[in-house]
Amino acid sequence: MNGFNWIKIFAVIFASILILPLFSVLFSVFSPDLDTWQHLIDTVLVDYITNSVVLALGSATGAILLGTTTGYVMANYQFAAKAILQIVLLLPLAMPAYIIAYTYTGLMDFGSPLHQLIRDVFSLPSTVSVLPDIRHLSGAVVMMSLVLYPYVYLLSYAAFKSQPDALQNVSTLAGKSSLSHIFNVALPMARPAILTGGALVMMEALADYGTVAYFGVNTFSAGIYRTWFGMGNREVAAQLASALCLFVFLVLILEKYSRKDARRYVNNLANKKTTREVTGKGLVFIWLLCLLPPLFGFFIPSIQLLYWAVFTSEADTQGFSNLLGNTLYLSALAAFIIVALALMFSYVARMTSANHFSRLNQLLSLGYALPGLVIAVGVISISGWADRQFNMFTISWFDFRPGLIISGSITILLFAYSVRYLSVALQNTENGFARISLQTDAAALNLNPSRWHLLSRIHLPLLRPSILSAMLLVFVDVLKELPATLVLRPFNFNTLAVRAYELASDERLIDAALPAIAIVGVGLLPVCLLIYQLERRST
Amino acid sequence: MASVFTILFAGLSAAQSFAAEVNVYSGRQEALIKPLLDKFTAQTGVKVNLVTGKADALISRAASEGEFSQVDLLVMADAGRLVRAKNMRLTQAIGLDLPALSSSFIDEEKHWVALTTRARTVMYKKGSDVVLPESMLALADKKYAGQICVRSSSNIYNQSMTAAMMLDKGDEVTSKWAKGIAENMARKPKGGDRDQIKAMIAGECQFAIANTYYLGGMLTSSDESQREIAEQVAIAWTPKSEGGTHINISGVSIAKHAPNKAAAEQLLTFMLAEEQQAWYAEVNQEYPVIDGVNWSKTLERLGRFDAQSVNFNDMGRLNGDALKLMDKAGWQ
Amino acid sequence: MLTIQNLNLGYDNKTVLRIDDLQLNKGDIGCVLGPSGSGKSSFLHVVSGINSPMSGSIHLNQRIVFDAEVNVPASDRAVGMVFQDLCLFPHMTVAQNVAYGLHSIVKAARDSRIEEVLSLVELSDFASRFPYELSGGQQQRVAIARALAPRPEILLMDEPFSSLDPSLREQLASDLRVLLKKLGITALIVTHDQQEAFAMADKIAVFADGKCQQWGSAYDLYHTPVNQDVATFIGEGTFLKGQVVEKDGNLYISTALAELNTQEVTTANTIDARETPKLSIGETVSVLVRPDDILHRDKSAHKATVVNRQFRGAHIMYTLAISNGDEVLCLAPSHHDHQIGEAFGISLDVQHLIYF
Repeated sequence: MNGFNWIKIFAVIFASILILPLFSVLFSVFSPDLDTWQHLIDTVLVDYITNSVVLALGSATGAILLGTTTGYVMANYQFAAKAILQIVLLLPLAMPAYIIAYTYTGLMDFGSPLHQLIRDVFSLPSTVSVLPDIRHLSGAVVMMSLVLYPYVYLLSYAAFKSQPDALQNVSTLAGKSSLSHIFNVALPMARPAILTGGALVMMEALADYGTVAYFGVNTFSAGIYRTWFGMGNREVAAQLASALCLFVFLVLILEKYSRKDARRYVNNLANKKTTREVTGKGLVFIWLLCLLPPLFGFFIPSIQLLYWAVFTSEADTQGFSNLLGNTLYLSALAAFIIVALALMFSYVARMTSANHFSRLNQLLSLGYALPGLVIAVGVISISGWADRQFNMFTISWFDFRPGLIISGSITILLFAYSVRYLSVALQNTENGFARISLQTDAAALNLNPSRWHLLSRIHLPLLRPSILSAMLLVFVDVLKELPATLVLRPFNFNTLAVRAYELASDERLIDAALPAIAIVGVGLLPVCLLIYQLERRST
Repeated sequence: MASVFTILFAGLSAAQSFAAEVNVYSGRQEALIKPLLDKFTAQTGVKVNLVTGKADALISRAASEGEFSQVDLLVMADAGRLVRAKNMRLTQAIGLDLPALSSSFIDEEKHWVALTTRARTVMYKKGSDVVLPESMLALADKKYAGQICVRSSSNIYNQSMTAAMMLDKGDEVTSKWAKGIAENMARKPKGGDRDQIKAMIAGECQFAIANTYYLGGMLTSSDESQREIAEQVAIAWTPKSEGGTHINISGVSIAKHAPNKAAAEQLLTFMLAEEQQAWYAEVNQEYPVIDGVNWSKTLERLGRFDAQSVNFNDMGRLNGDALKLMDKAGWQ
Repeated sequence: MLTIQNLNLGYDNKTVLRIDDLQLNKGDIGCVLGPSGSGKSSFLHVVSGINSPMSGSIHLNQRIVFDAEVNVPASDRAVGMVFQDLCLFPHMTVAQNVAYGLHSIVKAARDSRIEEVLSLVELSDFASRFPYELSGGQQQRVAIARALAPRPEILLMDEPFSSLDPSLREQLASDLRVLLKKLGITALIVTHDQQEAFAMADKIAVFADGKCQQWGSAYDLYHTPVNQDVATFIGEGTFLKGQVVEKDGNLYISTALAELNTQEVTTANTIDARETPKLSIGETVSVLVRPDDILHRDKSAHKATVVNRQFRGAHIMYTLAISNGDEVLCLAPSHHDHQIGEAFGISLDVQHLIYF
């Protein structure tokens, strides 16, 4: 048996393990509690569905609007200090949705200094509320769009960048206006990339719990928690989660369908792309346009958080370095492991001509859309079962009782992260592999038949940019992850997200500011690295 | 052979139990329990290992870990979860002589004991010329249409309050009440209890339904604007004649498979001691369960009140039904 | 039809390409030939109006489209363009691609025009296909149809065959000429392949060293190149050193292979505008020797050694070393089969004497 077959076997084993928590959730559909379902259908289910659909579609629309506009401008124009905008536009990646939601609530709160200032300026009595309340569905849509648009920006930027000047020239000669060119050519050609970004945003929005719970929006994932915690009905909660899975599956199928004729969008054009120089009024306009999303998605909330953390908060800074250490350790370890797994899966999918493995990879990607807590519960039941079986085995054969081995360990936490974020890493590694032509493989194998050699000497060096961006994205995601960490972590193990959440959920927004700004701060480093990486790749 | 395994898995596995340790799963957040645990360690030398989190998720974790679970003590922030843990057979009878508590604060089978109580009341703006409702029930009256701020029915405090009312007044009255509240709301439920209080002071509504410890927290907040708002709030307690003000408890159970039962009992006793009881009142503005323990200045300022008498086991059991009832009433 | 005068292309006041005078008649096909980087594509962009030159004038159909005062925008110049990579819109069908430039006419007229141009390029059955479903040659015809649909006054094509299989190019090039001639379309085509240019063009411009070196027919370019650059660029050939001597009152150029009478054989020089350089006795000149100027003569006193050979079917192209060490090319019928190292007799028979 050669090395490649071994790696196939490993892939199958790991995939089965990673899929178990998903199945343990999906299997709940075989024990339906009809009474509770009837109740849900009679009362709240329609709300859950409409709210979720509106949230998902709204956030995707908002993110597409922001991401595509900025992506187009950045890909097509050259202007003063563009490099700064290039960094700034991606900063909201470091801002968790629930934190931006808390921050804006506090900022626009009835008693907030900003609110008082506005009242003072217009000399209104202190009982008047002038700022709009953002805690409703449309507010949630805005919050989500503000922090999730970079996903669309990244993908659409690359798509626009690959459209050569000649396309614009065709339109110019045909007497079309720039706007007409954008809507008839540039946007339709970038459609697959834009929709992929939109699908990512929809999945994030569907899985979100922190923001919608705080804003009192009853979405599907809020409903899952409500059914579980309120009614104490874990089975129905799991069934709701399965329904959410189905919905996400639908989104993924639609996204796939939209790329059905993917070849329609591949342009084999020599990529001669020059950017148009903009100065004067146009420069000011472009700067304002591109600065607005990061201004609202990053700078304003960051400044508010900093202000709270420095001037008002009395949260103890004791043990803060410990908190920071745990967070970094966990995020880095998770990034490393998840990307290694993703590499293995996409490598196997590439090496086997049959479609099984690429379908498997799609299935593994489903975890991304499930609320973290649902995954946590799936993981808990698997790990508990495994620990019990193992103990029974050792007790009966060796009279040894090792106790819990994986439950309540870092391992289980990493397992849950893998289920949740494998999709993020897979997308990068699969894209990376797709860029390496199969002829390269053939040439390499012809010179040296060792597949390990091929992987280590040819693929890994070529994949370096993909691997790096996968690691950075996973790092930032784990950094922000909350519900699974909260439930699965070992004794005495805290992270920044856990600390921020606990304080915020007790309505102590101001005290939550320090850990929150720390999350943002730690997230900045990988985001900047990511930007640097992207820039290098594009030149 | 055994030692080989021990070495093999020592690195991977969760913290192993040693004699002088106790492991706690807490549905109460860290800031509201860690200082007590640290004090316990300082006094007794027993190390306390803590995981905080969503109560139900921790219950699920304990359940799936089963007989090998390391958890000794379960701390829950409300009666519903204490009952849920008991019903899932995750707890055992407390074999201690407990201090003198009102009987409702201890499970009939001693599977849990209360640590603190919280009161949920109607609040209004000082000096406003509103017609005060004589009870929580009366707030459902049509005359309060468009005057009430209250958070979502997803919230456990509203579920407990409704469950308690179902026990006291029956399903029909409670159902009508929930419908009345839903119709009288000044706005769609959103935000937490503090948000309801703020909205009330901002004039969005005349009455806010909130737990008193949130008001206490605002009164002692480091943020001046919060203190300013809280100073303007008055409380309308439900008198004894109308059934008394709704209360809920936080409480503690000893895990069924507790590996460090003795230490767990030691910690439980410590938590119920007078000094610790007073700490809760001081730090989180919750009411002690032990009679005669001093209330904090803030709590005294809010005033003494008559609490409803309720069987917390029954209330906890009705939690899901209460939510369904609110669903039907259109309380979002 | 197209008249270019004193055109300067460049940027930042640096001239990159200069074209003094270039005229293309209505219905003629002009080719722009030149090595890569010689400014061919930039020239097309300037004619189309996508970019502007630094100075000079461009007339299209008796209309000034560019001079010191006028700069007609690209969309109003009535030029059609086929781009190097075709640049078909991958997300549009063939018909939609063709319709793209037809926005200003009513739908019925538009539909009939689409049908018309598609039948011209013999793609009527492919109207609803997407570009990726077509072969390279078909895609190119779509691109041509798209450019022709708005009835441009001139068709510009930038390396129209570069993305196609080389074996197809020659056939497609002559097909294209037939099509353009049938439609009577004036076209300006950029290419780097002289065989393509020879197959299509009525007139050819050679761009090199920052200027338009020569503008003439393929025959002129081959037989009367204006300078050594054009001579080297067009066709095959080598230069033989020769000395000007006087004999019987005539000037001869004496080379290692023969003495060439400048009076007798310079007839070719007179058919073109090329000015024959004044020769002075004793001067050394380079004589252009085409492969067909060297004849295989077994009896000849001049023996040459085969350095390299290239079999071309009916002929073999020999690279030969002559007595003084210079190399010449000889295109000999392939029954004269000599291996490398062998020597055979040759003679120089120049029909068009070109010297520099």
